Amino acid sequence: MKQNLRTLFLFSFLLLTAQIIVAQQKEIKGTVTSKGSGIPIPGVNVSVSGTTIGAQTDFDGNYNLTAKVGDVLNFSYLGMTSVKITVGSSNIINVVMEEDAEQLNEVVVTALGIKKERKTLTYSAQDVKGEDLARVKQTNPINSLSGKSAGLTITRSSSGVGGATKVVLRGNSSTSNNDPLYVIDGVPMLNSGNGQNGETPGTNVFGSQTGNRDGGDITSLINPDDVESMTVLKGASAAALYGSQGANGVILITTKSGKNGVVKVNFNSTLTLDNVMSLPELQTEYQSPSVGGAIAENGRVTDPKSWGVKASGLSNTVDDFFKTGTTATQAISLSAGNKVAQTYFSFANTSATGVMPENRLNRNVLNLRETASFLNDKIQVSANISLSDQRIWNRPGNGLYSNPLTGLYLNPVGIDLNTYKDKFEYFNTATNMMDQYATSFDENIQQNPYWLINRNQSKDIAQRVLASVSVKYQITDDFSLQSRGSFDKSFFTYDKKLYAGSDLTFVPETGRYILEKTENTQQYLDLIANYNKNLSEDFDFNLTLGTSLTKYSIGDQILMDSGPEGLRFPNVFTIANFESSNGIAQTVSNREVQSVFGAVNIGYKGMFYLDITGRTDWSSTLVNTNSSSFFYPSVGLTNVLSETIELPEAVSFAKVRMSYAEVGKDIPAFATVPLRTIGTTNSGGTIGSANQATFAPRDGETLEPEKQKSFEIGTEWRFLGNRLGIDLTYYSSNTENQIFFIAAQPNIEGYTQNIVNAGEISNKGIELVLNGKPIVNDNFKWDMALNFASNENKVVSVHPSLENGEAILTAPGVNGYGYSLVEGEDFGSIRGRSILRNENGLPIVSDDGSGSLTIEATGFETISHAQPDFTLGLSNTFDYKNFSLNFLIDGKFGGDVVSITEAINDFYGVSQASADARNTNGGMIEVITTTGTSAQMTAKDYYTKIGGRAGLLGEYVYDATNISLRELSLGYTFPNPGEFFESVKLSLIANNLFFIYKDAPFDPNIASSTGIGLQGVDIYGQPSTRSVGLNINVNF
Amino acid sequence: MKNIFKYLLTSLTLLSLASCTDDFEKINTNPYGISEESLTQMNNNVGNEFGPMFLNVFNVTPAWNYQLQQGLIGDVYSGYMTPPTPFAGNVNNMTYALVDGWNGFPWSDAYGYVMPQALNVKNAVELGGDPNGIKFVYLANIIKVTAMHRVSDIYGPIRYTKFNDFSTTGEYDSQEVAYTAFFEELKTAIDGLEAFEEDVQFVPFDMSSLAGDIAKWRQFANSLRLRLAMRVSKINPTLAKTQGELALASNAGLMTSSNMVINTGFPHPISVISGSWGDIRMGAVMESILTGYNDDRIKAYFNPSADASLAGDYKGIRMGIAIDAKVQYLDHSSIGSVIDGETLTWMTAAEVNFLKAEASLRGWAGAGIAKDNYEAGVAASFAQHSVSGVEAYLADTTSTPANFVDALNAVNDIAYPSTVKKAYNSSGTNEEQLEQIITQKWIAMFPDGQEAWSEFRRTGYPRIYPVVVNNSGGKISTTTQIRRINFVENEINTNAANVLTAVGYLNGPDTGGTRLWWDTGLSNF
Repeated sequence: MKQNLRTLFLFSFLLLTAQIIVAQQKEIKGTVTSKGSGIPIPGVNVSVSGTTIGAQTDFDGNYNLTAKVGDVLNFSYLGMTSVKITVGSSNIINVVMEEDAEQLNEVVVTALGIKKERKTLTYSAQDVKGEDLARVKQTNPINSLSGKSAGLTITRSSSGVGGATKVVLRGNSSTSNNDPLYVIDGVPMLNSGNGQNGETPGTNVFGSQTGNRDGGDITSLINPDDVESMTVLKGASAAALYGSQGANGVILITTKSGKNGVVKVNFNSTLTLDNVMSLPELQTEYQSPSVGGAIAENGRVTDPKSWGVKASGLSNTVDDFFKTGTTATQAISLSAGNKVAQTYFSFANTSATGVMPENRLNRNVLNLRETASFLNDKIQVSANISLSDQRIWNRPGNGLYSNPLTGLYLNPVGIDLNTYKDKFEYFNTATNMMDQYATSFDENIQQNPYWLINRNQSKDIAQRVLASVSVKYQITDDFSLQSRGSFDKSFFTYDKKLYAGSDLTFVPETGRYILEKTENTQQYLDLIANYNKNLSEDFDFNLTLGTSLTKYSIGDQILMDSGPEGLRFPNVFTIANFESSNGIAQTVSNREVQSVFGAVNIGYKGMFYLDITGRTDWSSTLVNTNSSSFFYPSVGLTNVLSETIELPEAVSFAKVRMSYAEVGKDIPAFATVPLRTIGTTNSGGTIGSANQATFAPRDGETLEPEKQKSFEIGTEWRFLGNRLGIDLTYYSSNTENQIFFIAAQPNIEGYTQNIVNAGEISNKGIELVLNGKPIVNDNFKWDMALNFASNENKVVSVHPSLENGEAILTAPGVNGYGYSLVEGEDFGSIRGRSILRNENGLPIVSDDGSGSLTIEATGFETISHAQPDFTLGLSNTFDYKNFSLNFLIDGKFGGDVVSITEAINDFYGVSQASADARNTNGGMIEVITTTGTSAQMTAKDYYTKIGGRAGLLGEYVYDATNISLRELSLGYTFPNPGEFFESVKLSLIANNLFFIYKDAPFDPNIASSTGIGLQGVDIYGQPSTRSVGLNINVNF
Repeated sequence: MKNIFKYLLTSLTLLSLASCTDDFEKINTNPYGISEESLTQMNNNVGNEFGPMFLNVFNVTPAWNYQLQQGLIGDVYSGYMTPPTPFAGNVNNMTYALVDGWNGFPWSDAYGYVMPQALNVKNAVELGGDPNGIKFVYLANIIKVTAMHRVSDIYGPIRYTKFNDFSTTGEYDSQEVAYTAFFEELKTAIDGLEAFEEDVQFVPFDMSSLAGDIAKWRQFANSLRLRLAMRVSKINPTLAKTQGELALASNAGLMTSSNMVINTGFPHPISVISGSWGDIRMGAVMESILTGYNDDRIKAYFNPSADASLAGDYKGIRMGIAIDAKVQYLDHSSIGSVIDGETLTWMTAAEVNFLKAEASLRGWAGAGIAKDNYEAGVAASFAQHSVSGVEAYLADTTSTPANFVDALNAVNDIAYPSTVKKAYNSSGTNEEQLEQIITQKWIAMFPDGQEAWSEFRRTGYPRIYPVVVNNSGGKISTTTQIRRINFVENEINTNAANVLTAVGYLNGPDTGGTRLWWDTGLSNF
């Protein structure tokens, strides 16, 4: 393949020597300028109608070509109204072009960075402009998309500043990965973080031993100020040219670059204050039986739960625990350029402290972009280098272990947590060192939160280098050749020091040290030939052919964990101090994909546009399968109605579009070459032995790439001179041959899982985008945009070998929570048990004769699906003179979420619900026995039976519907900033201000994981935060 | 211009045809994996397989795996130990609410790390073609039987005789068929290994105290044969007698003076569960018997309670009681020095002597005198734990197990329902003698709860206290106690038809209340 690429390069250079001979009739010159400003326009296409003759204007707007008298010259430029002029006697034809109100800003970047006029698109694409993104700055620019694009769902991780973001376009369609592809300036970006993102299914909801952690993602390492715009390509048709990478849709990010003749310095400073919201409701009425009892030397109390007597004057100290977080971002950018070369340079620093004590972030992002033109602009070169460095101290996790929030919420009521704050350790004379001072280690989940914060500290470092180069050679006016290459590498370090004295279940008595070093690398190279021609006056023709090569090395990790054997010298955190090497391991996942692709676009009279694309991927992961490659076609057709038929005057623009595409995804690396590996503490298997691979394809089955077939139809209308716009899309997609990891069939090798192709998931939905400008006058302008999307998501089938059509992604095990895909249900069925109730809703209990009542429960069944039925985003901008007010309301309707936090809080008797129950009906819960006799059980009996980690989670299901005021900003632009400044703008910004409606006891927009599992469930995640701040933007 | 297209198309077509994907196989191979070819170096294709087997008959690490394989099944149902922890809100195995998420581990350990490995040894030896390799197959089969009879004693029917062929591997054997196969495999191994007694090729792979000595492996296998013979003594006395007498007469000998111990290289999992996690404590039955007998082995088995209010007494927890919080019983007696060191015991000399004692009682030829075997068993156990005073112990005709008094809750108090004595009473009835033998064997086998639970189910001895809280929903009787574990969730999910057939092999429904094949529920003689 490399050889072939080289040949192709060579071949294209040979082409350069070819001469295109044109009969000489008369030389015509001229300058093209813009109406109003009079600035020359470079890059205007000038063609002689009915011929193949054409030219482009240079940087000064000059052109020259040959034509004869009577020929019609056609001047066209994206965003400008085309001009037609018949050649007369003069040899100089100067043209003034006018901005096309209809087309203005309607040039969209599509797959592979190809710019197209919006009206020609055969699929749905939605732009989000830089100004909309920048209005209320987020530390992760992707979070700014929330509510701004129909069909795009953003879920943030619960790990606070620097956390990863889960983005799903048009619903979950895959069992392996639903992350979209991010493309920066035409080059696919690697968004593999360090853990969680893209993690394999089956992650333990209750947290691994050191807590569920968020490894962050790469989009959070992008400086939001560098983003010029983002385009969301939602459907497979739009993304088909990206082949397997684009199966979940694509988010194209265009970054800023320098401009000719402009020197600009921009300084932007943001400071926000963050506070927790949506805390669980905790009671302060009933104290723990421990109150007044002895407190042991190590801080232990006699009863860690809070099912004691009613008392007054109790308080809880949850509010004392959380702090006000601060996020300060300073960004400076400088752009300058002349005709030949342009430079854009930016630097941004973000420094933040989280709402959890000891949680801090420091991030620096440096970006340099050079663009240059040579040989009369025939060669355009763009080079970009971006460096990021992010350090996060004590990134909050979730789950039950090593998580301060469990000990915080479950603190025995009446036992003053401040005592434990001031004294989180004591001197243990037996060991001659400091030891944890805690109320209890009950169920291994209740440690002293202040100990965990100070003595279970972690550090996450993420560093990234992205270097990319693009060369474009405009060989003739019609034909160009472009090659791009990028090297994208990120380095992650995770360092966790767990002091001796932590819960012995996870931390040996000498302490534990975990050090992980991970590298992710992506090398990308492509070559694209583009031929663009007006075949005749009626037909436009565009052909793109290309090839690409991508090499991935993901999760190239060295993991060092001192593990259960501990450290030789207590609390000395270095790998030389490991007692055993059983926890040292290396892992990597390698992959190479080679592709060829092509696209044909044909336009007819500006009325009809036909798009056909095709791509073939050869993936290394398909070794040992029946298919070495897979092919994806797509076809789309658009009819611009407003150009085709006579419409009422009120209609400024109308079009209909439809498209069909097939895309796919390769299979996990190494899956078809199951090799033995040496067992380690963390890998499972027998430590030190060469263990059989844990999974393999089923006997007699081979694996195929996952395949998604999708269809969409849409229409776009604009009325009253673009004052009102509607864009409506219906789509339907079916994803087949999903990759599932299922429990292994009985086998003789000892595989515990089979990797199979099975299952089909369908998504159907409607997206509606409404744009309106209800009021536009000189002083006052009102812009509004409404995004509506509904998605219906079904698991059509899973693997036929599975009982009851259930593919278990997370087995309940000892806990009350399971996560499965079930035939006929929505994607992601949360499984749990519920109370059996009689027709009056009374819990049914069984009496064993001794008066001890047991609540009757259902078996594990689906208790909820987290995905919303529909989402709504409403954005309003009011401009009055120099003031600008913007607010965004974001709503998600439908779906149910589960709170394990509430279940455990109930079990420990710390929840407000448990106090309310004790205050009602004399503290008794009415129940009915299996024989139909009325009975009562105490609130304590009731909640200790339905609550807890193994509890009846069907009782902890909440409506996920929520409407929030997501963003609010009030900006003021200083009218006369003075000589030194070009512009000064000051804004008051707020994010996540409040919920207009919410039922769940936590923020359902926050996920326990940004991976595939653990959706719609809260397990002691950090509460979401509200931030309010100030932004100042200065241009010099 | 047309030509440009032609060339481009041609070259792209060529590209697609000739794309060099030759190194894809290499790219798609885990660089940190081990190929079967490289494993043949130093005969690791055979030797490596023994590692997982040695470490999974009893799973050694991580400790939570042991906890689910043994610790919360046999170790608690035998009366040996009880967790102070109210796992899952105290609705769990201890209170007879069998937790499917726990109880699959004896199965997955066996079918992940024992059965495939034994097959790999067989295949590697057949492929290697060296006729001397057969000894490895025999040795692997001995370990396989050691592991699999334990699995069968938990669930009943298992996948065994048809395991080696992929097309039949999902099929179950009734427990009777499995036991017949165990006897056959043991006989073949004991007989076949005789020719290899001087062979040293197993030395580098042997993780046990037998140190690669084939003669000792024959002795261990023969002792195992006696254990299994006794297990079927009630359901099939003829088969039991045949196999028992084969063992007693075999030139392989019996392991009456040495123990079978595995050098695992890891701390005993119980030391982690008891020491680090505080999740297992002395059982009430242990307290009753050891304190009632003034048995000094208690000092090796347990630590005095850490709770000041218990004044340093040895204090156990009754299994299946109401527990609100772990702290309540946490400071009761933890497990003692018996689990120190990086070893784990598969079989003790004491057990073999007690097996011989019962064989005498059952009139099997070559068993010797019951009293002698009984006393040799007690002596072997005292020696194993370096405890002195065995003569005085065996002469004690008065001590009886003590009644149990719960330190926190009188509801759990219970009298020991027997006055079984220490000194052997040869004039007692067979039943009385058997109670003495099994009670002493029960003490001696500590902490192998799985064997102790099996022998309790077979004989009814010692008298294990019933649960106080029964959350089984009527599936398990408090009085007859738990008899087995229901089939594994994962098997039901992936191998449903065969599991259904296997349920048909049971004497009742697939619950913990159904007796296994060898558990007749009838009188012992």
